[in-house]
Amino acid sequence: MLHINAVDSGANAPASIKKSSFSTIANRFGVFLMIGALFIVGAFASPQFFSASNFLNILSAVSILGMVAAGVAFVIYCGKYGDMSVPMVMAISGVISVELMRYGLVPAICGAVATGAVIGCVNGVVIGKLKVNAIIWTLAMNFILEGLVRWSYKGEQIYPDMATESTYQTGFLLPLMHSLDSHIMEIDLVKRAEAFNGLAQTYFFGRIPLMLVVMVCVMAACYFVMSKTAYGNQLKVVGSSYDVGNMSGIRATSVVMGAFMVSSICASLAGVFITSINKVGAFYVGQGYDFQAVTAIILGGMSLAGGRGSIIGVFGGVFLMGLISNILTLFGVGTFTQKMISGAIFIVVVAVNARSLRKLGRDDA
Amino acid sequence: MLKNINRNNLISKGNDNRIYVFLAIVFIVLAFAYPAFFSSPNIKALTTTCLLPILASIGFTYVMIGGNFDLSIGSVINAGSVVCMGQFNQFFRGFGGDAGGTGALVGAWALAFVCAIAIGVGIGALNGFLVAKVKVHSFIVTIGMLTAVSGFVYTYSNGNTISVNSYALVDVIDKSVVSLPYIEMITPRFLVMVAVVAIFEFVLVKTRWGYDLFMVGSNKESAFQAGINTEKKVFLSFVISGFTAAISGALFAVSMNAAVPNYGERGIAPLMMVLASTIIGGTVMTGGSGSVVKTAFAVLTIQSIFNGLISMGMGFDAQVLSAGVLLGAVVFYESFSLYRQSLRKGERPALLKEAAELRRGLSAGSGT
Amino acid sequence: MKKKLFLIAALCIVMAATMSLAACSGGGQEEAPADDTATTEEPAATDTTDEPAATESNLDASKALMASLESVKGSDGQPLLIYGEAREVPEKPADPDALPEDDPLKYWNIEYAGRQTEKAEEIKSPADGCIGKKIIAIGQSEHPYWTAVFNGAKTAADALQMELTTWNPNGDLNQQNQLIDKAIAEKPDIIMLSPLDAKASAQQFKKIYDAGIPAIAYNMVPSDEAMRYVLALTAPDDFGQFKKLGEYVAEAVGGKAGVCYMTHLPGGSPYFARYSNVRAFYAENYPDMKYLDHQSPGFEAPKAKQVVADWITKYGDQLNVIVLSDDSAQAEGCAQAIREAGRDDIKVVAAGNSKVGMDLVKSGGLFAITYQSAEADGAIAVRAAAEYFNGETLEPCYYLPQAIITKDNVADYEPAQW
Repeated sequence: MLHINAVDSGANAPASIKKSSFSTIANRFGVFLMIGALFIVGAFASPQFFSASNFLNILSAVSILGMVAAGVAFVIYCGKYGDMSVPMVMAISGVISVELMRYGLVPAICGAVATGAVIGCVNGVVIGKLKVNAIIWTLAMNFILEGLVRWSYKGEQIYPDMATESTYQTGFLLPLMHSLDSHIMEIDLVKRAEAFNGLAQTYFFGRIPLMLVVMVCVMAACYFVMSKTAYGNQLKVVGSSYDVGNMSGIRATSVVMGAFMVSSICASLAGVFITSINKVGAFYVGQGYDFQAVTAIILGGMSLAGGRGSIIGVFGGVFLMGLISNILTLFGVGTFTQKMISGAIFIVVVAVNARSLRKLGRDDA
Repeated sequence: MLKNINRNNLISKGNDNRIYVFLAIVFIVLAFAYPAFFSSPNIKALTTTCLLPILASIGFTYVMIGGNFDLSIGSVINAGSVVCMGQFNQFFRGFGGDAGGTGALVGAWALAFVCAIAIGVGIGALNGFLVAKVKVHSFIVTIGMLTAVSGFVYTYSNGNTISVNSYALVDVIDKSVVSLPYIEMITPRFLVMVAVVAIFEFVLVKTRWGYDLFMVGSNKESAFQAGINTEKKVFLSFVISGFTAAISGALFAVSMNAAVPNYGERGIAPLMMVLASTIIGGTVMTGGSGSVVKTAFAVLTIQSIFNGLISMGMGFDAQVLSAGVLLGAVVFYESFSLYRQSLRKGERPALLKEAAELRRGLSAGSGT
Repeated sequence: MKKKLFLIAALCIVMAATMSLAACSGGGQEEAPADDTATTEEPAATDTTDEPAATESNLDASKALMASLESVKGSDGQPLLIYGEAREVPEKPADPDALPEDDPLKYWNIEYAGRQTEKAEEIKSPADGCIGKKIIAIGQSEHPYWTAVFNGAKTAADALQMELTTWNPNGDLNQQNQLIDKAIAEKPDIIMLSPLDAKASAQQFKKIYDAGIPAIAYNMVPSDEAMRYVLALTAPDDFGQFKKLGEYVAEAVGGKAGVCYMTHLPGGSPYFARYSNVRAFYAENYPDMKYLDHQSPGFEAPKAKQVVADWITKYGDQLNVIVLSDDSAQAEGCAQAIREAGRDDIKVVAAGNSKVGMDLVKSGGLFAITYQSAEADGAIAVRAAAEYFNGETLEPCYYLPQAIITKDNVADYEPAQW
């Protein structure tokens, strides 16, 4: 199993720390070193690289990813590898928010978040209580949710500003809403849809998108919860060793459950925003965000073994991903080569990180 | 890993062989619901579809038995197919093209397959090195490799499908050996699959190497103590995974007479298919248990369900839902039984029995 | 004991679920033969004298149906079964692949696939009328566009009284191969196939041809080699439409601009039609429409947005025109990036007319889009099949109706089909 090595190689840790100061730095600030290096590269890419607007672009492009990653970070922090149900949680929350949007923005967002919370709760109970392997369970969950969304929409997608009689025949809540509320056809959809679509097009100070602000707020909240609260400490203990947590009086089951709920809630927020950008609720939004989030989190120095890393690192990882693709596009590198380079950067960063961890005696293999 | 304590229990035996039970149920249901399911052409169509995921799942099962993950196989399949077709075109031209006759054709195909396998083995070796030697978690390494290799595939093929002008090989490998009903699905490609499955199952079950791999997967530490070179075992399991993924991609490309750089980017990706069937086939996620043959039958089971659902006019929604429910039920059941065992952890049934008898004896004594 | 019960319960649930699925579809199965008998009886009912006369009348009835094609309308009110205008085909160059990137003839094999190909000997039409003929249509993926395609095909099949079965491999090539095998096993009168990959389709169509079943390629242009085994191709004229679109926007900017391209998935024919084709067209006709960059970020709004924002950062005022290959997610992301940068002067053109795209045209986020009727995409293939059964000779290629949609005429094409 995974944690055995960590214990016995930790015995000679103090001696090796002195020897390898690079490892210490690489381990602590790995992702920010990388960002610093890319800043230097970026300066050659374009004279506009250091402009405020370019940085705003990078950040707003990764704001959806940031929201997702902040949530998934909880799952990884508590030693559960990842949440593969993220894509469909995003899709399903988007669809639900479009359905509920006709009653206003607040019910739409609350409905979406509640959906996320319920899915997260199911994931959490099964994984926390029964110790099902998280990846497989969430993958199965993703399949099931995808089947449900596709089945209930019969291959159609749902637009916020368009509804006919037949629209209310398909969907999750629409048929129910239609039968309960006879005046549903009279709601002024266009106006409501404008408000909903406006979510993605609201700017502060004329330039800063609402999405970015939400992402930063989510990150800040997650940072606070993870580092400053009792729950965060419990998470760290459970992440480092589930059994130790359980035996020191922590209710490990609820802790894991909480982590999955946070993950799903963040994903559903992201789902609402991505649906608002696309102006259409459909089953295919959010594809690929599961792996991307894990990539960003690992880049940010969080360890799959759990209990190590921080949200600041995750933010760095998310920013790094935006930065890489920004710089490569500025250099005029094609999409194919971009893929290859970003994959290689990822492997190198991770390998260096793992090496330095081992040198520091904190092996997590 | 905690395995079922009561090994002789009928249920746990049934659980070990659950995939055969599933397959039987699926067959019986389909026989009633969709009579044409057992028609010869349908069986041929079904088995042909299974070839790619079955081949790719062999290595995946090995890696998982060793306690790791290989998420890069989706890209490696594409790398295998693209390199095979691309190199064939080059070699064939090098051998003088059509003027070279059969010799050129055979030589070019042989070299192309060698190249495809080499690229798969190379990627597998890189994965294995990073996991076994550098000690990075396999989940991370292979996610990175997934992206990097798909970038390589696009760059190599320039984003285009690579096609081949000669139908010679596809006519051979997809032609039935005996064209009689119900055995017409036996094509050379099918035989290759059977052979590869048989070889790797044999290695796993009957050789020392296979035993050692199980041991590495179930408890790395004690395997190390027992003198097994764990790093080498893990490394080789990744090499095998790269090998089988590449060869499955190459054979698929030959059967299409074209190599597509983005196979699996839509629909249920081969990776997900392979992952689900490996689990449903009884391989334990944490390693130490599993079987190549059972994984192969799991692929067949899932594909049969899909085949039946499509024929009944059900869409992708029903397919993906059924795959999810099956996978979910299997992991749920497995974990639930483990959970029930863990509740009894530390319990001494013999002692409890004794205590109960003692108590009974005491109460009987006080009665008289 | 409990464990045993649990296992049995689990098995029961799985079984029950499969059974119920089977039951639903079992109903469908029973309906199909019923339909069959109805359609075979139909000619007998109209004329009961003797066999040849019956087929004769079936042919007559079928031909009579063809007369009322113009009255069949799609959900957007546009005619559904009318062919678009054909284009002149230039002489095929000796080796198109060897030509330079900017030569329009480099893409001859994709643009005019099968137009000058020597066809394999055609499977002879029974010429006994289209009524009651069985079609199996294999699509590409379960996308709203495809839902509309199949709706259109169904409308057309109903109008022409043919029997249509639609199957969907959901983007999986391996699955599509299986569907082709299954379709061949069911022995329909004709197979309609939209290949997932142009070059890989040669083997697919060859298989159908070898089984003695006629095939029509629709929606996607197969390779030149594949066209040997195909009766006819019905597809949107992606190349022609994008030349028109390119011309339209070039005229609007006075023939002088910097152009960036956001491509379709690399390798497919839309990639070449919507990127390489426009680039070559400009190189030949508008040399001052300068190529700046192309990227393939896929169909995700945030990624498209980032790419466009990066372009604006990099090229600044040099960037005047953006050619997109999708009018939904790509267009939304692009419109946002442009709005955030305050660069309303950049003219964006895109393919297709989904609802999102038409809304963007109305709001000014898109300058122009092409008209590509999803329903006609399916319907016209059915019409070509019907003409084949009526004994008419088919052209190698039929295009969908074409148009450029701008702010001025967008109202004519509403409501959107998907």
